[in-house]
Amino acid sequence: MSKVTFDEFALKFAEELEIKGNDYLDQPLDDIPEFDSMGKITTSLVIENLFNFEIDFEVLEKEESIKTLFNYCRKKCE
Amino acid sequence: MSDILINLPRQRQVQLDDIQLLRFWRNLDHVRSRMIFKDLISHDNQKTWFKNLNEDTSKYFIYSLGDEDIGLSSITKIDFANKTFEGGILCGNTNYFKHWINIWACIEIYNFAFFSLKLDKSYASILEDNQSAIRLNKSIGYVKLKTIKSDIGRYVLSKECFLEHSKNIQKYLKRFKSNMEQDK
Repeated sequence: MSKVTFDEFALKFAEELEIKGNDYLDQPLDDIPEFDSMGKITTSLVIENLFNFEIDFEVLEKEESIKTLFNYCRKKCE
Repeated sequence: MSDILINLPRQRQVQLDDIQLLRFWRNLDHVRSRMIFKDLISHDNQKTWFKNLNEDTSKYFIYSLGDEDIGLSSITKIDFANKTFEGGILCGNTNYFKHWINIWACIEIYNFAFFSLKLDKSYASILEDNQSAIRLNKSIGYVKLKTIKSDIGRYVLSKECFLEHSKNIQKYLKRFKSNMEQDK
């Protein structure tokens, strides 16, 4: 089970994608401008570092919000 | 050919048969609005552009995934004496916005320029409101030099900066491509 908390994940996500403000916490991932082609690759690398697994790009495209993405990562580590 | 194999990313040099597809992409609102030169390009203008292309100073590639063409990557204003060029990509296929293939194409074109053509430095001019291009360019190591004409940023990328900034991205893309090849 991963010990990474949602706050840690969200903070790292925002930091690496250089997202300003907190709107991203409630926005659909698709609506976050920084979550573009490069943003998705950066997010993959963040997940690898924090959760120790390689996420499929298709998962990043399907997940709706940072919360559902975090839940996916948590489940994957169970 | 298996379904997986035909989904591998590829790049091919632009041929005469491709130029009207390029014109279609280049004239799309989402592309044109982000260009410094915003005029619509006519059928004949496009033919003239291709006829006058100097292959020594510019190279254009179409990148695709399987049999689906996605966008255009280019290196232009190649100056072998000073080892400089200008690099760029545009995603014309609207189904592939925000897709990793655009980053793959971007990294491929800079690897080609820096390592196959042995150039040292790239320049780029980007509209200040084109945030997605600015984000992409900064993430591979471009540094802003100055603002020109009040709304255009002038950026520079050295080979060393590219290597340093793109290290993790290159690893990721290599692994990604190799996983795809193993799955075929």
